Amino acid sequence: MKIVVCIKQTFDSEASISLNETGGIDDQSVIQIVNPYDEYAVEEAIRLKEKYGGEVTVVTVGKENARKALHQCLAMGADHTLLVNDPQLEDADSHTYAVVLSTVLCTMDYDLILCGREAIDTSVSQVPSRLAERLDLPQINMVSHLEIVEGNVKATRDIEGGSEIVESALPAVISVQKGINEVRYPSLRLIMRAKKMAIKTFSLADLGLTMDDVAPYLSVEEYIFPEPRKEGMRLKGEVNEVVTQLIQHLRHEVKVL
Amino acid sequence: MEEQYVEDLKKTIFEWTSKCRICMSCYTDCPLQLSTKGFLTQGPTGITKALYYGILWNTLEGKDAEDLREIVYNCTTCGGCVNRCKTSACGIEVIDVVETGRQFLIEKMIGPMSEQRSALESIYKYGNPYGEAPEKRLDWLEDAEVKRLPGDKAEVLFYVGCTTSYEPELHGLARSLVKLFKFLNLDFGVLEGEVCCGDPARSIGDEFLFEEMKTLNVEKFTAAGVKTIVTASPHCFNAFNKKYEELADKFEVVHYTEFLARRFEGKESFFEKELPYTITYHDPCYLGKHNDIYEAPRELIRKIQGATLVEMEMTGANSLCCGGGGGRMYAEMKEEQRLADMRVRQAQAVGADMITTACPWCHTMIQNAVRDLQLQDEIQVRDIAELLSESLGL
Repeated sequence: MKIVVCIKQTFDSEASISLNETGGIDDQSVIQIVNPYDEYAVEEAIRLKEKYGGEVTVVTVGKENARKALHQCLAMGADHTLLVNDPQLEDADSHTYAVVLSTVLCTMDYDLILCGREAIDTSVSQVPSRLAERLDLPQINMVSHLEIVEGNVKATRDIEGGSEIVESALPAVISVQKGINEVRYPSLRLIMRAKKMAIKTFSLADLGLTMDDVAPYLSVEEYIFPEPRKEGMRLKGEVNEVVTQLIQHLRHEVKVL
Repeated sequence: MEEQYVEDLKKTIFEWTSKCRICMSCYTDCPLQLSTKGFLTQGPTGITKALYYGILWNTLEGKDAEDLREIVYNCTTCGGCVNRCKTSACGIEVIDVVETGRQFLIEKMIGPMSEQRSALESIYKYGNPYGEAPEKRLDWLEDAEVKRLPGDKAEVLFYVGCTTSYEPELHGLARSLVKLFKFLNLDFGVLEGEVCCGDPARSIGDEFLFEEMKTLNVEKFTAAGVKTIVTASPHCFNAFNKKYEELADKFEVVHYTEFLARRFEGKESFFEKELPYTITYHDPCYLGKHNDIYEAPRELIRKIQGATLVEMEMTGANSLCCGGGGGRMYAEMKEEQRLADMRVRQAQAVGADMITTACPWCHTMIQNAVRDLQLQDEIQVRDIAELLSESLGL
């Protein structure tokens, strides 16, 4: 079974984000990681490979630093990796990613395409669907359990109040959800070893794409931080006094009662 | 043919384990026998044999792999079994087998426990297992004037450690040590850009991450140009002393209890402020069982005016582990009864109104147990350094 996993490198969820002089997000000072939802996709791909045989190829669109993310995937057990890196992709949006990824995938042989449900940086959650549309493939999103049954894929999706099982022929695009598996830990030794493995790199020109093909639909006007949360108020005293104070405050200051 | 590295791990596990006579003497010293249902795999021989047969029969997939992981990561690495095997049996280095087993499980991507993964990744990314920002590591100092190495120069490096640096409940320990060092007119400093000693990586089984941290630390200590390194944690102390061959003969590494016991010898009269507590001392495993340091902490406690030192039922070399070692600080292991809870009950049984210890992890585990048992009004948890500082009126 040939599986392709599309991943994105994102900011570490524990990192504190800062803006650079041009008002963009400073990606130099922030540690970057494999998008956690994409890690589940990589893990699922490796588990399917271990069960049914085949190979796993991980594809990403990113800068030079994205090699680190690919090294991690190789250390986890991916067989091949592919990076599309081009300065013209600086302002990429979901449309851009979908165009680039679908172009790469057109040159490849695959049975299954796996993605994370969304990237934790922008949380737009559009790439899997756009990719499926461009490749004219069936898609199942937010999958929390996956099986291969007689050459078809059987996917479980969590829905409100229950779950639904969707079956599809292969190839298909599947985006996975937290809980589908427990991601393995690649030791530093395996990451070091992975650094010696080859990463195929392409530019837009290598893929036969022009700036017009990948021009984003979305443009960012400005990045601003949310207003810091206002300090809370601590009421002191016996229960009766505190409740009275609280009611007074809600009635006269906040004016909600 | 598997890589030589994995073959060597297997060989180490096989060599040690095949020497075991299954006399079971070690079970009398294993804390897991008290905190679990007491199955054979919840004790030293069972853990090492489970590893042995798991590898021999290659039952390393699915549920078998999960079971083996749970068995091997349950060990607190307290060292009780190692000492017992030395005196009563054939001297097997059980903790080496367990740690090698964890390295093997990580190689096979069976380990670590899922919660431990972020601790290891954080050490790699941020130099501490908590995912905290490196630039906030010295925030506990607040406005205190302390030399910052390697920019400043000093004779003694106070190596604070990750938990003491980032856990607000332990900032009292760090600040007390600074006050005590100043009281002693010590030429000391803290390290700008201090990173984890690597002990959690080693005990969870990522040996290469440990080696990476070791290289970083050796470079930093050499650049700092100090003679002595004083640690707040017995785990950092043990790692530097026993696992950093590069430091041998270059630096003296001391845990703060031994360091202070030496410096305060004959200075009992300075401890003027009476602290009328009935104090019991919890021996941290990595100070006691691993390094035979039992007396120095007690000497320090005895200097405190008005305090009465009482010993718990399990004390000294027979002390009960708090359950936080061996990477368990970062994972919730299944226990019938928590070791830290038992320890608090033991303190209660001898009428102590204060538990002192000299390890940030023991402190955290025991403090949490006191809170969970809702005994905050009856028992305080303080570090020895805090008590000394208070008794000196600092």
